[in-house]
Amino acid sequence: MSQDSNGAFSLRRRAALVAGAVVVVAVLAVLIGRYPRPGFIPLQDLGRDPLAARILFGLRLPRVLAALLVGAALAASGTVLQMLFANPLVEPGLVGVTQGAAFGAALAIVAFSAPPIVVQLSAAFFAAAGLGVSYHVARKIRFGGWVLRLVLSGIAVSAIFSAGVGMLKYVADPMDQLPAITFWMLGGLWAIGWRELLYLLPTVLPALAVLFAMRWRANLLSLNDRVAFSLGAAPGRERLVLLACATVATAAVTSVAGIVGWVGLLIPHIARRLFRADGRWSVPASIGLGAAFVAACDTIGRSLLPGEIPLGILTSLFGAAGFVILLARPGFRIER
Amino acid sequence: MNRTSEPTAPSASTHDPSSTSPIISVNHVRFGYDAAAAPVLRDLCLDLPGGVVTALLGPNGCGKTTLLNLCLGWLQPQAGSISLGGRPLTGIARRDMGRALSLVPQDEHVPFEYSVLEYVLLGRAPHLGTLQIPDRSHVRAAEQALEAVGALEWADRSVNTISAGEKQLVMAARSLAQEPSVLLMDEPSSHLDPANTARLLDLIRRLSARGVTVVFTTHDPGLAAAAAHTVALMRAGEILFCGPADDAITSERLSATYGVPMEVHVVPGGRRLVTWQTRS
Repeated sequence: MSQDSNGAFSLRRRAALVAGAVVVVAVLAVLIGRYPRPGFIPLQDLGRDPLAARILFGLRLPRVLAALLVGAALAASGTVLQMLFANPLVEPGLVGVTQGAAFGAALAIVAFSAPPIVVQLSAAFFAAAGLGVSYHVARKIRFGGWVLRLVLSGIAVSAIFSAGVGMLKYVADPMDQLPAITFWMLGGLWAIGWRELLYLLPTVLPALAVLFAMRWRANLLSLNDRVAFSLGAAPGRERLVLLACATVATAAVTSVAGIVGWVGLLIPHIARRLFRADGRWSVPASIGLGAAFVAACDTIGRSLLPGEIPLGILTSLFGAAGFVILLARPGFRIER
Repeated sequence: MNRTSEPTAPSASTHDPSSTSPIISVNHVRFGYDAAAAPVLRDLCLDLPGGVVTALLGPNGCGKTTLLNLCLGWLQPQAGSISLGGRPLTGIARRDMGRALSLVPQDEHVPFEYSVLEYVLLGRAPHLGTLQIPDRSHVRAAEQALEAVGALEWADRSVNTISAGEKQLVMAARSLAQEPSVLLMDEPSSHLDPANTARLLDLIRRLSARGVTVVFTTHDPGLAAAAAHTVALMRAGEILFCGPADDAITSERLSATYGVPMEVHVVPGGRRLVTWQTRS
C-alpha cells in the first residue's frame, strides 16, 4: 500500500499550523500599531480610551481583514494561474491584469482627479480589459501553442498599458496627481475602512470560492489540452472560467490596494513546497499563507516607522528575497 | 500474473464473434492540418471492431496519430463523420466521452511535481463532477490501476522523476483508472524495454479479455503481430488493408506498406518474426 494516509496525516498537521498562523497574525495585526505608542495596544485602554476602541474596531480591524483578503485572493489566483498556464513562473501580472489596473487608476486620477471609488472602478475595469485584450490578441497570433500565445500577448498588452501609465504620469499635475499615482502604484491599505471592505466582498469572495471549489479540477487543466480533453474535460471552457475568477479576484483587490507585487508568485511556490503540487493542498495552503503574509507585511509597514511604508514595497522586498532563497535551496526543482 | 517476455499472439477466435461489430466507425473522413497543403487523410473509411485489439500499423508520418486524435474527438474531420457505438462523436457529452474513450499518449509533459498516485487519480475525472473532490473509493481505484500495471510501488514518487518507460506504464494506469470501454494508445511501447513491453502486452490482453476495445498505433510490425487481433495497415493517409493479424502481417502486405522489401517468418510456436532489407 502507498503511504498516502501517513503523508496526509503530516500534511493535516501542517495545514493546522498554517490555519493557526493566520489567526495569530490576524490577532497580532489588530493589536500592534503606533497608538498610543509604538507596539501593542494595552487591552485595559479599550475600556477607558474611546479613541483606542475606535482605532481598533473602526480602522485596524477592517484593514487587517482586507489585508487577509488581498493576500488570499492574490495567492490563490497566482496558484491557479500557474496551473492553468502549466508554468510555475506565471503571476497575475503576466496576462495584462496588473498593468491594466494601474492604467485605469492613473487615468481616473489624471483625467477626473477622481474620488477613490471612481479610481477603484476604473482600475477594475481596465484590469478586466487587460485580460480581455490579451485573450483576444492571443487568438489572433498565428503561431505557437495557446499558452505561449497568451503569454506573448500578455507581455505586449502590459507594455502598452505601462506606456500609457508613463504618458499619464508625464502629463499629471506634479503637485497632487503624480504623488497620487505613485502612491497607488506602490500599493497600500491605508484607505480601507468597513465600507471599502464591503465593496470588496461581493466580487472577491465568490471568485475565491470558485477557485477553491475547482482546486482538484485545476490539476486536470494543468495537463496538456489533448490529455485533459481525453479525461472528459472541456479544457478551453473550464480554463476560461478559472481565468475569469482569478482575474476578477486580482482586479478587485488591486483596485482597492494598488499594486501588491510578488504575492501571486512567491506564495504558490511555498505552498507547493510545504504541502503538495496537487491543488487539493496547494490552493487552500496558498489562501492561508497569502493571507498571513500580506497581513504581516501590512502590519510591519504601518507600525515600523512613524510614516507608513507602502505595502507593495514590503511584499516585493520580502517576496523577491524569499523567492531567491527558495530557488537556491537544494532539491528545489522548477520544470520547464 | 503472467509476465513472459516471449508473448504469444492472442487468438481472436477466443472472442465471441458477436462482440466484433464496429464500435468506432470512420466514414469518408478527410482531414488536413494546413489548408494549403494536401490533406493528411482523404476519404478514409475504417470500422474498428469492438472487444478486440486493433493495431494501426504503418510508417512514420502516415497519419496514424491523426486518425487516433480524430477517433478521440480531439480533431474534427473536415468532411465525413466518425461514430462511437453508433452515435456521432459530435453529439456525445464531454463527460460521457471521458467514460467511454481513454487516451494513453506517447509522452506527456507534467509541469508540477505531482506524485504518481495523484497523477493516476486524475483518470477518475470523468466519474466526478466538476466541483467534486475524489474520495477514498477513487483513491482505491487509482491504486488498483497502479497495481494492474505493476507500478504501485512508485505511488509516492514524483511523476517527473520516473523514467520514460515507467511513465508510459503510469499513463496506462491512469487510463485504467478511467475505466473506459475503448482504450486508444499512441505508440504505447515507444519507450519500453522488452520486460516492460511484455508487461504492457499482458495488460492489453487482460483488458481485452474483460471486453475493453484496445486500439493502438505502432510502426513496429512485431508489436502488432504480438498484441493485435486485427491490423489496419496505413500508408500515406490511406488504409491499405484491415483484417485479421495473420492476414495483414505478410511479406507482401508489409513490403507494400513500408516501401521496403520485408519478410515474415513463422517461427515454432506460431510467432511471426519480421525482417527487412536495406536498399543498397
